[in-house]
Amino acid sequence: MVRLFRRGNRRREELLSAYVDGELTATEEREVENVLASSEDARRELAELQATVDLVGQLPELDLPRSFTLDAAPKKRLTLWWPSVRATGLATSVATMLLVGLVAGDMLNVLEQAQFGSDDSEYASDESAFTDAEVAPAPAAAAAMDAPATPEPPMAQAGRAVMDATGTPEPESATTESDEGQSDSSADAPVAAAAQAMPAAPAAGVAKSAAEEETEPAAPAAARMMAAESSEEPEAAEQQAMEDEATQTTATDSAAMEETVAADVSEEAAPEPGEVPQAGMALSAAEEAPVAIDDFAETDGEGLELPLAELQIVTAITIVLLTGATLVAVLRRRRSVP
Amino acid sequence: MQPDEPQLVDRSRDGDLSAFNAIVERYQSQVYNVSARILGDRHLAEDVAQETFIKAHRSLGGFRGGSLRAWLLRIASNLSLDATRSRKRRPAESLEVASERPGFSLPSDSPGPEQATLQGELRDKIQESIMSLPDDQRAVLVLIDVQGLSYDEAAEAIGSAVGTVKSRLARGRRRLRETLMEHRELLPAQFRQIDSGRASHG
Repeated sequence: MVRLFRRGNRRREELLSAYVDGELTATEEREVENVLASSEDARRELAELQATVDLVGQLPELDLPRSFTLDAAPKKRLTLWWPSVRATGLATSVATMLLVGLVAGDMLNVLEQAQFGSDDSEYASDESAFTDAEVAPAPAAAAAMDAPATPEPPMAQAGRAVMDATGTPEPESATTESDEGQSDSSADAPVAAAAQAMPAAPAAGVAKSAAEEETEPAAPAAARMMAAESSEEPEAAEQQAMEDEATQTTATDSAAMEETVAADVSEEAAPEPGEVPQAGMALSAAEEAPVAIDDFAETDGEGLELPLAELQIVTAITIVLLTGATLVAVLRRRRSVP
Repeated sequence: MQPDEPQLVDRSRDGDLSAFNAIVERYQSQVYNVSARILGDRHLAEDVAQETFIKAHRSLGGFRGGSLRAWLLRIASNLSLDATRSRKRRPAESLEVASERPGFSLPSDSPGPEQATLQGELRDKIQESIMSLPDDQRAVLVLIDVQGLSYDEAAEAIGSAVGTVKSRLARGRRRLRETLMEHRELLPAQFRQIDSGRASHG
């Protein structure tokens, strides 16, 4: 009750406002009248309020500009089916963002692929074993450790590594590493054998730790046996290459294996030059291998690209449809207000 | 007038367009006036009024009895507030509206040229003050103080409780009162007396 004496009190404001309209209960009305009797401020507020209500109430009624009767029953709008402008607009922007994300992702992926592709093409043109060594040096070393124990190393890969090595166009980095490799494994290598062994040395360098262990006479013997096998069974090597192509094992694994065997071959080739032509045969038999790698890269690229492209198309179509829906919704809304 | 209203509604639902037009003729002035006062724009109000009846015809099946006037004014005030909001989002258009406002007052009921100018100015000021109110307060104030709805009917028209109507109306009236007090020179003697009374009391 005392609160009502203060101007700006919300309850007083509401009570006075309703008092003007005669919308108070009997109790409330008595309450207000008590306040009005004792407070001049309340009386003034009531007077201002009354005057305001009167002024607003005196606003003239506006003449109708025309009749709003309907000439024909308006067509029922498909309100349930037809989405609102806001909803279609929102959906459109969401779809657009999705498309942007997809395209951006695809472009990044394309860049990645381009990088991989360039590696690949470098591989194909330069036939550099160095690239592979770079790709997976750690697995190479690990595989090299296992190599002596491996009873049947993939001959095709061995052959390919040799072939790669012969084609190495970057002697600077290769020779430094090959020097190490040679000093470790084949110091007394004949020139012909060295020509074979030298380019293979980058891989040998990477697999150095393994090669160091193999400086014992037992290891070259094992390697020699392997090389003999590879020369005796070029068809098997080819088959291996085909298998490689078909199974498409990961590039790093195969690279690691190549290097291991390459190290073996280089070692083996050094003390016995007679073996070299046979290794060369294995080489020719394994010519399929780089193709296998190429194929692998291609199919891998496609595998990533295809769903993205489809998603992009689907999203683009969705955007076009949604934009159309938004436009139609806007037009319908405009038309419904004549 | 009231008794045949449910009958008109029933016939309209059955597809009798003349019955529906009877309803339109009965309420179009109130629908148009509420829209015009909420919007402060005659042209927009015309569009909103027409849209109100189109919408009413379409959704007559959803009318569950009660006050048909409140139901129609609810559609009208909602559409008006929507139109106000979309207009606010386009500032270029609201400028256009502002320049049109001087022509808002009616020149028809002018007793004398001088007085008519003053009255017109005051009306413009009142309309301007109404326009400056927040949406919810504006709708309630127009329905009750301009259109003369009861608290119950206004509650039905804005879809809120009577208590909400009361507080919104009180707040709207206070703001309107304060705004009008800033333009005492336009106010009639009634207001100036109150003002001088307050001034003498400090």
